[in-house]
Amino acid sequence: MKLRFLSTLLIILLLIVPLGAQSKVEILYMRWGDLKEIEVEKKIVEAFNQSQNKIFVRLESAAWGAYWQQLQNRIAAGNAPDVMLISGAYFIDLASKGVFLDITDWMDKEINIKNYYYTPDVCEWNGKKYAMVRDIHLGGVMYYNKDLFDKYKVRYPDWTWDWNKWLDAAKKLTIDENKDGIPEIWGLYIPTWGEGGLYPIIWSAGGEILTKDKKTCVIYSNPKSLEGLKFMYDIRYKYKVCPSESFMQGLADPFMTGNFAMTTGLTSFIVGYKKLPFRWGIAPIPSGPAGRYMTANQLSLAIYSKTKYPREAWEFIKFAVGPKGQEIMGKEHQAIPALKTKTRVYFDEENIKPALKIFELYEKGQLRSLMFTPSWLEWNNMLETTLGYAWQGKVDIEKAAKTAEERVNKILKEAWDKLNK
Amino acid sequence: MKNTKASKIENIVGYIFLSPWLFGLIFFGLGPLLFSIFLAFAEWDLIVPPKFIGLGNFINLLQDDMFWKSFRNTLIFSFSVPIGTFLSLLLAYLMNRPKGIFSFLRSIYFLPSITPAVANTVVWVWLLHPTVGVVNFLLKKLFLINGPNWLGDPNWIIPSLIIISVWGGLGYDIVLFTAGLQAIDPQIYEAAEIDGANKWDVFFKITLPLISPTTFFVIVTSFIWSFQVFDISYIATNGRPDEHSLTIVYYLFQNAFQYFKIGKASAISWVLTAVILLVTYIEFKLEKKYVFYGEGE
Amino acid sequence: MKRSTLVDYIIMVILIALGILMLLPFLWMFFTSLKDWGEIFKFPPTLFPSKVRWENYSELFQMAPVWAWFKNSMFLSVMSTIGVLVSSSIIAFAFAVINFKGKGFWFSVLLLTMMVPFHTTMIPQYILFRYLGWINTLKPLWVPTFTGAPYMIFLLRQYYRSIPQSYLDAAKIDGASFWHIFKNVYVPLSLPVTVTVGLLTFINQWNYFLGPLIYLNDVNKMTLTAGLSFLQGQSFGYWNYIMAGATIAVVPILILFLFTQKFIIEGIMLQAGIK
Repeated sequence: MKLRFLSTLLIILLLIVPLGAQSKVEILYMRWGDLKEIEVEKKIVEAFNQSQNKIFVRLESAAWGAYWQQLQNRIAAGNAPDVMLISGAYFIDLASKGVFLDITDWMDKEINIKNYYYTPDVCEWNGKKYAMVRDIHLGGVMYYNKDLFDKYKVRYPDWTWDWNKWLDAAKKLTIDENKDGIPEIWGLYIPTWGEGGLYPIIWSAGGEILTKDKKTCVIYSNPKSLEGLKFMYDIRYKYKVCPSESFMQGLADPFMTGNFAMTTGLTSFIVGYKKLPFRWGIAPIPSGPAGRYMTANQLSLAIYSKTKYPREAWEFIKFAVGPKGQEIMGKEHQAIPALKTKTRVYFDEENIKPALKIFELYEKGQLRSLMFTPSWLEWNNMLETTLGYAWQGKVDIEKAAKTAEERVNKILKEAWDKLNK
Repeated sequence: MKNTKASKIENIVGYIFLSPWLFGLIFFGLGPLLFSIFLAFAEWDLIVPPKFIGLGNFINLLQDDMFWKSFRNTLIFSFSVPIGTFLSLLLAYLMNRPKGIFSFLRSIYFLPSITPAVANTVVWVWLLHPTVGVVNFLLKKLFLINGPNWLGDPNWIIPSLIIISVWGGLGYDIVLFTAGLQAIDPQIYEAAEIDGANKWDVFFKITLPLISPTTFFVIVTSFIWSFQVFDISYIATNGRPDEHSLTIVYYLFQNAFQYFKIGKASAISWVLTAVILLVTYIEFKLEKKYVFYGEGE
Repeated sequence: MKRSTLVDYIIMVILIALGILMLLPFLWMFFTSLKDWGEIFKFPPTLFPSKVRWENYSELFQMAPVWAWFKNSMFLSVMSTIGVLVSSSIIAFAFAVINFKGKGFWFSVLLLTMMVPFHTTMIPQYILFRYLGWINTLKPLWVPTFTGAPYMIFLLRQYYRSIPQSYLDAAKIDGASFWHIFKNVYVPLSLPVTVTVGLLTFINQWNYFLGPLIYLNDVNKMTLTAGLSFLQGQSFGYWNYIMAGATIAVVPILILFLFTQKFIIEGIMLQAGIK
């Protein structure tokens, strides 16, 4: 009997003691990524966990293809993570549905926005702040194949380049040796999706995709936008320095094939290009009639509106966007830090250092956001697939642009109307 | 008296045998199914409780251009069923011989079923490339035809997807047909030979009826699957289908997980299910006439 | 006589040509797993690597918990195969042989469940599994298999129905119970199909990646095929490692298939004896 009593007491004590020591709060943080990105994120999370002993962050990860499905499932089931990584394409839709916690006060008081590259589109909605930027990536930057430039004795791109010089070099670098009508080497490829090339070209031509209030598409009605589209069309069918889109079938990343002298793309491609068997460099997109414009897009961190530990979640976010978290991010080349003092940590190799100069365009407003709106994915899909017929040479560009504008406006109107109800 | 008692016992035994499935249906299936039917008549954005809107989603679908286009595309794609069934039956029949090489060939044909869909589709995307692809290259060299832009031409994209999917499903269906063919009692063939029947008679009057259960199964399940095609169109269009390659389930997926229109997505899926149900019902009505179970005479 | 051998010859050529076409993706997958980073993206694509790089495999093992993934895949596939086989045969027997009230209705319901796309019930099912506490475990992926798989139930039902009525009648006259008839008559007679069902179930579960990606939050809990999705980032994928992983994933299936193919044929010959 005594033994029984003692052992029961012991068990109860053993249960209570950990309970007492467990004043640690555990919060869940979910992000997507490939294994390397997740490894680095683990380091950031570990650094936070070790820097204090009140909060324990558990990292959960999903594959990029499944992240949004998983997130929506979890929101519906009520077990969404406390902190989540958000991309602009989904931010407004989720924020307007009340998925995120309002962190306006905290951000105003505890973060100095001026120290960051900061896109309101991925953080703010309806006058309030719901997320904090974490990293930045630019689109429309130009990658060029140094080996090809050397072989055909063309001078490397620089900050003096405009569209004329660009076409000039592209023509010299489009080579059809066996004269079968299909070049083996192409001078140029500009992606037909917004961030990679379409938007920067339209902007550099002086045009716009949406009106300033983001409620109407003007890709056809704005004559300068049409100029930009014409440029995209002409490089394929008039100057023939860029292949038709039907040729691009199966070519996931043209620059990696080594057959393209110049391509425009995202800074996030740098990681994949590092081990390419040829020498390459980065340059800004050449200046169009209205100047030089590229995209700037950022991922942000948001807090679940129904979290049990809002303050703790916020502490983690502050660390991740603070100097220590950003340093790890940049040094391990997981992403380009949004904290201005840490951005250069990412660009430690010689051939990518020139890209740093591009960031100087940020203050001048030449690195623009992607015009996120509600239903952004829906109208972007529509825009890109409708214009696609022109890029394949099936339809002339004005007709495609007109149809695209009509269809996009239909989606935009429906999306904005729904929100204002 | 004996009959009703026996039939009563048979009823109970039947349900006992059925119970694992019934349990799964009620426990895992019923709730989600009913909820999803409800969602088809509602609007839901995941946070606020769903709002009942009656036939709103369905009316929206009637006027939705993209929906009808995806429906048309899926319908055309379902032609992969008769093509695939015919080809796999033919090949299974041709390879149904005891020599070892045929067993080896059957294993090879099964490879696409175990290779990841990504590998299968990516290779076909290259084979079908308009300028440097092997298919157009051979067409030019052997038949002097300029092959079409398989995946880029609106008229050829769905046929291309049919080719890829039929090719991918052959090995699988051949295995099923082989199992069916090899289960036919060889004595029946011997008896027919004695009676002096020729090869065509044997095939149409003996073989075909005797494997009709398998044929029926392949047709019914292939159709159900073909109407739900998603993977192939996703990979072949690089995640960006247009109005000529969008299939119903893909459109469903976009609405549910990219456009946050979960009610509409549910409505789409139930319209899809209704269509499949209708076709399957017709198939079962035909089963009574054309499918033959048991021993032949 | 001569004409038929010419036809035979042509048929063989076509069969072999088709066979090569079938091999192509498999070969491409294997050779890509041995390629250097720069060569993977060459255009037009090459089949054979110019420089064979076996390190892709060792690097994959360093990058990813491949062994853990493999064990998870094995566990899931084995459990599902047992679950589906045991439950589906019993259920199919009911649909094929037993006459009970409402049989037609329930069979229609069974088929109906096959016609509902996965994405339709994904969210409600997720909520259900969350309620059961099964999220971030493998349970949602194998427990339901013990309640039958509609496709396999249908397949087995077709086969059971083609077994001659005379066997059933004889057994009934002998006074055998349905369970006895099932166990001692139908199961032995349907060995080829049963093995086929087992094989197909194993393969389906082995290659099924969407479920693990939705229900699991931890990279280490993934199955082999689902885990490979983590080698595909937002901007690009590590194709050499993905294909190395895919090649590893295919090997057990290939062995299983070759092994059971032999057994299916022997099983048929055995079955002819039992009859």
